[in-house]
Parts: sequence; C-alpha cells; structure tokens
Amino acid sequence: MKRELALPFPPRLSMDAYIRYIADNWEFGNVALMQRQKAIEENIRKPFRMPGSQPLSEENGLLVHEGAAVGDLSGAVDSDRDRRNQGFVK
Amino acid sequence: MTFMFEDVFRIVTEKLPDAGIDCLLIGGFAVNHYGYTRNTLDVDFMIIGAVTEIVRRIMRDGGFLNMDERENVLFCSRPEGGPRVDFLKVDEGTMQKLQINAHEVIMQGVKLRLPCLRDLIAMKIFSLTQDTARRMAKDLPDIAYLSVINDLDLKVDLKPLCDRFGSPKIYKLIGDQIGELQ
Repeated sequence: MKRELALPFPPRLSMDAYIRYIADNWEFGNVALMQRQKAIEENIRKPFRMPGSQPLSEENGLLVHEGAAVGDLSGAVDSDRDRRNQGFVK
Repeated sequence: MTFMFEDVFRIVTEKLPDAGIDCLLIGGFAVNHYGYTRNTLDVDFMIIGAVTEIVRRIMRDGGFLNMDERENVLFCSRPEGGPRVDFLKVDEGTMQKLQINAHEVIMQGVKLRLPCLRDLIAMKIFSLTQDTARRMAKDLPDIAYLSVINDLDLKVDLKPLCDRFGSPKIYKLIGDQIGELQ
C-alpha cells in the first residue's frame, strides 16, 4: 500500500504557536472526522514498557498474561461508551 | 479555545506536582517539540499507573468530569467539550528510565518535561508494532519525519530501537517511509 506524505515538510511551529494551531483546528476544523480517524488508530492493548522494568500489571497486583489484551483504547467516537460517560464519573 | 489548553497545562504543572506526581508530555505536542507539526485532538501525558486514582481526583476537581479508564490509559474530558486529556500508564521502572533523558520545554510560560527523541520514537515503534494497520497512518509518518528532520540514521539509530521495541517488518516499513521522504 502506497502511503502519502506531505512534501515539502510542514512548517515548524513553536510550542506556543502549536497550541494556537491545535486550538484553531478545534474551533474551525472537522473535529468529527478527526475523532473518527483517532478512534481507528487507538487500539493499543499493551502498556509501553522499557526492557528490564516490572510490567504494569504486576505492579498493580493484577494478573495479566503476556500478550493478553489489557484494554481497548477505542476513542472518542465510540458512541456506546460516550453515552455511558456523558455527565458522570465512573 | 487556547484557554482550554492553558487550563490543562496549569493542572499538570501545578496540581500534579503538588500531589507528588511526575508526568511526561507525549503525543502530538512532543512530536511538535522535535520538529514535526501535525494535528492532534488531545493532550497526552505519561504517568506511573499506581498514581492513576490521584490523577483522576485532580482532573475531576479541574472540571474533567467525563472519564474512561482502561488498564493502560485514562481518558479525561469536560462535559462541555474541548480537547481530551489522555494519561498513558506505565510501570515505575519505565517512567524512571524515561525521566533520565527527559527534556524540558516551556509552553505558555509553564515548564513541562517530555521524553528524549529516541524514547519518543521507541514508544511509536512499540505502538506501530502492536497494531500496525491501525497505527500506520499516524505513527509511521511521525517516525519517518522525526528521523529525517532530526538527522537520525536508519541503521545506527533506528535499527536498535526496532530490535528492542519493534520487529524486522516495522524496521522495513520505516526504512521505506524514510526513503519516500528523502
């Protein structure tokens, strides 16, 4: 599959300019479309771990077998979950 | 809308340290710090998993009433909308190793710490390896752009990271992607 990359490189922004850029995207961009893409991307099931460190599941006293799913990171457009989360803290 | 980000950074740089909690800025903001600007919908931080309950309380007190917690991440957002704040959980040993080489950045007058470039790329290689199809659109360009912009060498810098956190397949994908940029 051929992947497309923007060329030339996007302009480099300072961190403060980046905040304004992201804020503008929130205000004027197609947030629903971006959220859908994000939901597709967010499916990492294992915590990042540096070699030699103790697995998070052991630290928390939970038993999770190596390679087992430890959480679906489906994102903000999971409509069922969004309904569950509206207006309350679990 | 920038006030929403200011609020997030105020909580993270004042309330979390007051509670003795360290966090690292990751995600699109960290990627931007190292020179590649792309859009993002959230602000991502890394925390030690054991402090998640405290972070939940602090975020809730800050108005982030909508929360969803999974084993390796806590999602926080405000009922009225705005950017989501994600806290990725890691074990204490991983956080300590990431902190050793962490960089400091000043945003809107507040200091934040973020992983060094190689650690950030290692996380992305890890994510890409876990779910290549879904992560390809974001992590692969992130890795390729960051490598080219920061003049990283495929064999010297990226292969060791792929050996530790990825796979030969991911190394090949990254090499191909960098090739398309150069």
